[in-house]
Amino acid sequence: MTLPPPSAPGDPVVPLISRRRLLIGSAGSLVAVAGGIAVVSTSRTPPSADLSTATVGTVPVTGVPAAGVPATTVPVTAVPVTTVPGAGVASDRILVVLQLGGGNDALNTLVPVTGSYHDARPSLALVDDELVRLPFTEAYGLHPALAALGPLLADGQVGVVAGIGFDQPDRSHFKAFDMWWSAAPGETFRTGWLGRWLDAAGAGPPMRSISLGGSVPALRADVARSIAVNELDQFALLDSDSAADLIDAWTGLGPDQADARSAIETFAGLTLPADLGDAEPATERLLAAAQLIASDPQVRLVHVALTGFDTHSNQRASHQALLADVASGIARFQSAIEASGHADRVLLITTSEFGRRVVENGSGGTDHGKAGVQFVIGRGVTTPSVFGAIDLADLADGDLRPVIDPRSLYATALDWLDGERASARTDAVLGASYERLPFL
Amino acid sequence: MAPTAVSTDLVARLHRRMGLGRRAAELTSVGSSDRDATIARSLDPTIGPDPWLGTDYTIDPSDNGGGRRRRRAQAIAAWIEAMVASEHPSVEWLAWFWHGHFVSAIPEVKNPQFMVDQINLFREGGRGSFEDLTSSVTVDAAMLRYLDGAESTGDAPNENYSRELLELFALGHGTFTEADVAAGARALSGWTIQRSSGRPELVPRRHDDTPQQYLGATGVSDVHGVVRAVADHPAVAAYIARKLAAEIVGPDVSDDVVERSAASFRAADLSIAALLAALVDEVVGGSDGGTIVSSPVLWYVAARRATGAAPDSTQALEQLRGAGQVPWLAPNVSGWPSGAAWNSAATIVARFNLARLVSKATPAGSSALTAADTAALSAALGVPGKWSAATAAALDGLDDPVDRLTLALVSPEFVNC
Repeated sequence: MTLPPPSAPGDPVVPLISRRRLLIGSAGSLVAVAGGIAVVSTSRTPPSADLSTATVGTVPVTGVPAAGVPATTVPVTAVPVTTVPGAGVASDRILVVLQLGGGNDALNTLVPVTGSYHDARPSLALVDDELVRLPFTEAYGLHPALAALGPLLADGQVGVVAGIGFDQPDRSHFKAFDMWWSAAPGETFRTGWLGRWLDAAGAGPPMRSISLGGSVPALRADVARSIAVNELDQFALLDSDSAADLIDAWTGLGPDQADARSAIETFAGLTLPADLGDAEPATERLLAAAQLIASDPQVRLVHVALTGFDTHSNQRASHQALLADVASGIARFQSAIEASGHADRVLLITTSEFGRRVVENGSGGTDHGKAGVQFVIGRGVTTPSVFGAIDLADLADGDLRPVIDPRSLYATALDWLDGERASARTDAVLGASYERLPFL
Repeated sequence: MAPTAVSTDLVARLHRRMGLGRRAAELTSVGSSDRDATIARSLDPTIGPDPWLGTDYTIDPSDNGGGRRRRRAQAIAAWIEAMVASEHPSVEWLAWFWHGHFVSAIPEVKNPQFMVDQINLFREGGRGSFEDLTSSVTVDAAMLRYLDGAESTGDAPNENYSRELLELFALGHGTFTEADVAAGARALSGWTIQRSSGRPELVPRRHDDTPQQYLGATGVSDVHGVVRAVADHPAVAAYIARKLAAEIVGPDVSDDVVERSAASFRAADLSIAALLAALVDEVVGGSDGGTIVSSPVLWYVAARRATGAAPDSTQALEQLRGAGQVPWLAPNVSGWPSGAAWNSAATIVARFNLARLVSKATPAGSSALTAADTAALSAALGVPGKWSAATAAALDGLDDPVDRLTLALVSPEFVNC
């Protein structure tokens, strides 16, 4: 697969974004840029015609507080934007959401190369020389276990969101999850952000929305249903050949049974590699996702839920294994969708309910914290960079400070899904217009 | 309250919600006269035989991965078998409830014997004082492993257990501060598991005995201080009452019911038996919090009890894994989901498969197979009232009794209770 070259850092057509990047690189913290962020496409050719317009919008950043804290956590009103009529309706794009359940340790995922990092993490600090280097900044490196992302980084397909979290964070897994799932902090949970997109997109076939690793409230909708599968190797009917009448009667019990039966038929075609171990759920589920995408044109949303990131003790080994599985899974997923010709349709984002405490505890682990780090991955990424910041000189109660609202990540992802920048449907799903991340 | 039909529903409901469902031999009569006996059985304090019959499930150092998995599966299967066979199901059901509340899971705990001991703690102390139960759980070996208490030292305390004790186990979110979490972690530091005996012990040099301010109390520096402050907190009674009420009265239980039962619970010094009695009174008095979608394990146990079937336990555990609920494998510290999650595609498919295993293993003479018509089948399975028109039509369309039983077991009328 030949790809156009990624845009070089400091590309003159993206002055404000590259200025941010330079600031990240020089100071280790993000300084807000007053006036606004120009969101533009760059030298890389977007795969679909509907995003081929050069400059598509300017979103004002308002209320800039103290240096180091960009005002990106407040909803902003979108200014009029250029859109392609009908693009959203025609979109066949796919969003994959990879949820790192338990609260992934942001600080050992995207490591700031500063002395205070080592001071806070006497036993857990990673060695600077072993970090995976980022092509677009020297201020950070990635955990060595993420080495499998190397080719995607080199190819410019990775955006990194640093310091992402709601501005009223909560160290409870379940409150934090509620906020991430609903994208409506402070409200009683009713529907998930992906569920609202499904409802807004209207009726769809059962395989439109799939959840691997169990059902997840992010997909909860007023009307739309999703197919949730816990264990890929168990999702099949026993006796399916000898009890046709019974299975017909079972299917007639209700729409959930009918959906399940149709999903089983698609899942029956999956062939997962035999070399996967128990410790590779991300790889297994992402490879399944790649096959479902290749085999069923109805698929639009895939949620992959992982667990185990709640690393309170003996984190070194467990986090290494978790991240290695994530990186391997993403790399193999991207290879698979490149091979099947679907890579242009797919964007993958990660989520996690919070990051962890900066200072490690006495059990070689880290307790619940606030802001985290997420990734945006795929051929749709045209401006790879670190957006936001991890600033160890500006902590919130000993935690990384949230500087990017998760709804900016969601807005970016939903725009992708609809094939439309500043999509009105995105804003309706999220309840307001949030600044889009400058990767796409 | 109205007699007859309501009482029949009530009997079926209490048996399913607090008694793991009736066994085949008990399902011959479903009249309203069963009401008092049903109430008594829902509150039966008798502790039946140890599900593990005293077998030691401690991991043998010579066990390889396969050996460890086998030992774990045997211990889990033994618990399910005990629930299926129990003549005193109230205690077994309550142990299951506490297992989903004070969650520990085998991947972190590692040693099956620690899980066995914890479940027996729930079986023996699950109806006693909530304060005593919480004290025991706080320094229980499985819990010390699962939420890292065994790793927590006074120098740099681990907050995992301290947070979940307040948020999930006793008080609920929004009732405490981050400072309480930190103070609790200090007061609970220093507990560890003795290597030779596997018993929990406090190691003084790992413990921070500095008096802490905790939940409004002062001078808190140990387990008893922490649990006493928790038990004295105004939120505890309603938090626990609401959680149990959701399983007994129904998921949409009213605030009034929660407040009334919490008052009884508080007045009885947090006696769990008193809370259970108050909640049964609510059900008998007509309080109705709506339908419960049976979790896969409770539904499977009820299906086994009603039919007398004993399918292959390895196959059944595999299907329970597909359904999303295996004992000792809760997905996270808040336990299993409820309601709509148990109607996911994965659970629906696994439930069909489990129903297939059960119906094929049902003894030929069982009334679940010999039922002459759909009404008789409803009685044989302890399903109150009639089948819905859709279910009845689907049942009537099947000739094979095994097929009919499979479909009946996965029907909403049997899954919901």
